[in-house]
Amino acid sequence: MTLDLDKLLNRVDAIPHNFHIAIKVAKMLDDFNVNIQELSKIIGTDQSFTVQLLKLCNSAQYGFSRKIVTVNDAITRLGFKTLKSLVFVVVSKGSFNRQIEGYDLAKGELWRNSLSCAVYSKYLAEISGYKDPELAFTAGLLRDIGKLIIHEYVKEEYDNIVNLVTSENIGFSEAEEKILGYNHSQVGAKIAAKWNFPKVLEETIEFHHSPKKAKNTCVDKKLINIVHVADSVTMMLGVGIGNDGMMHSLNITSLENLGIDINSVGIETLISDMVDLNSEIDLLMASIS
Amino acid sequence: MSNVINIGMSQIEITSKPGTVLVAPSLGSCIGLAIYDPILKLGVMAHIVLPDSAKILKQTEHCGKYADTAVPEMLKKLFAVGANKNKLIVKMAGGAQMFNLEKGANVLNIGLRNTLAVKTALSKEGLTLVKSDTGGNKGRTFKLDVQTGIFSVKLIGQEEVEL
Repeated sequence: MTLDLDKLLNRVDAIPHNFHIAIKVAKMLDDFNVNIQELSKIIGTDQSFTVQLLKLCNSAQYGFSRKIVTVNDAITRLGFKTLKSLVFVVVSKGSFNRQIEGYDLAKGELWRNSLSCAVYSKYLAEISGYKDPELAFTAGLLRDIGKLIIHEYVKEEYDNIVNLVTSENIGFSEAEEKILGYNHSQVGAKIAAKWNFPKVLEETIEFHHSPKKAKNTCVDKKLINIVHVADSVTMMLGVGIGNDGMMHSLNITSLENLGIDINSVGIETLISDMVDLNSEIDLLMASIS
Repeated sequence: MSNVINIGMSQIEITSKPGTVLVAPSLGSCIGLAIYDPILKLGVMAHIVLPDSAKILKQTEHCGKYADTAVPEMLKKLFAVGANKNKLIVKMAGGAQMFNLEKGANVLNIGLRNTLAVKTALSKEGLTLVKSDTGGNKGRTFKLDVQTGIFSVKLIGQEEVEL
């Protein structure tokens, strides 16, 4: 079975989402001359969105003693970059926090998995000296967006995909692509383009399982490596993993690129430190429930 | 209706409360290790993340995080409430590995290293592993019903089976 990508992407519009707010806000926040009143107005047009955003801004992890009560206040105290990643958290929840049948993910599993990958990506960005850890957070959060669209087809062809993984000794994504014509990363990148995500996010989504395929013309190869490693550790730790489980490969070059020592001490120390972030992930989950 | 205790990464839980099921959910390379005393109907379960505490540069307070520290801690908890070492039933599940094509990538096989480390830690304490379900590339959930003493494992996408 080969997917009709145009048909598939046309269906995407039917999926409830308010990503357009996030994209608009993200683009405005990228502009240092942003009109904060205008920005507050756009965010404020959606009441429930505003309520959720402020709740998240007031969660324990940001540790403000005085409550943030307005969007203006949030911008001033959290800064543009953090606010941007929180905007994506709020809008993503609606799409990611549901059952994804084709990957055998119960409601909440892909959501926890995505938030975990976001927090791990931000951590890897920080320890590797990456310029924008908040961007890494958002890239990690959204990397599996293609799964939301492709999962019904994966369900139909699951046995064939897994058989190909075994018989040809290839990763799940590659087998997805061979059977369906496209894998969830490629479909995700197409959605990202359709929804006018920044190019850098489109590319991290596309190459998060295959950083070696990322061309030198890509906007930010380091970010692709960060999200690839964060995704792999999320899967390895079993956080909300589906039936593709750990059938993905981890590229050693990506680890090296982030300055991680490729020996048992280096790898185990990294995982140990990342596991310690799980309480932060629990807090995030609770803040937006 | 059974009472479920979910055991998160690095945690150890012990119970003899009737109707309670100890669950190590969503195990990837981690190990769910359970030790059961059938006389007391007492079970302890750990969700082990890594093999060896000595290798880690920054020590943490969670004994359950590492195989070498989890096993003695589990026994300490069991003996504190009168468990009989000779009666203990030990089973484990998990230890899956990332699918990997690259040469020299064994260093990334945390699942296998966890499995071997648990076995070593058990034999150091003179305990015999009765049964295990480890390896492969799929996530698992591991359970122990302390009332019935039934251990079970569910691979993602498959039916739950008794271990």
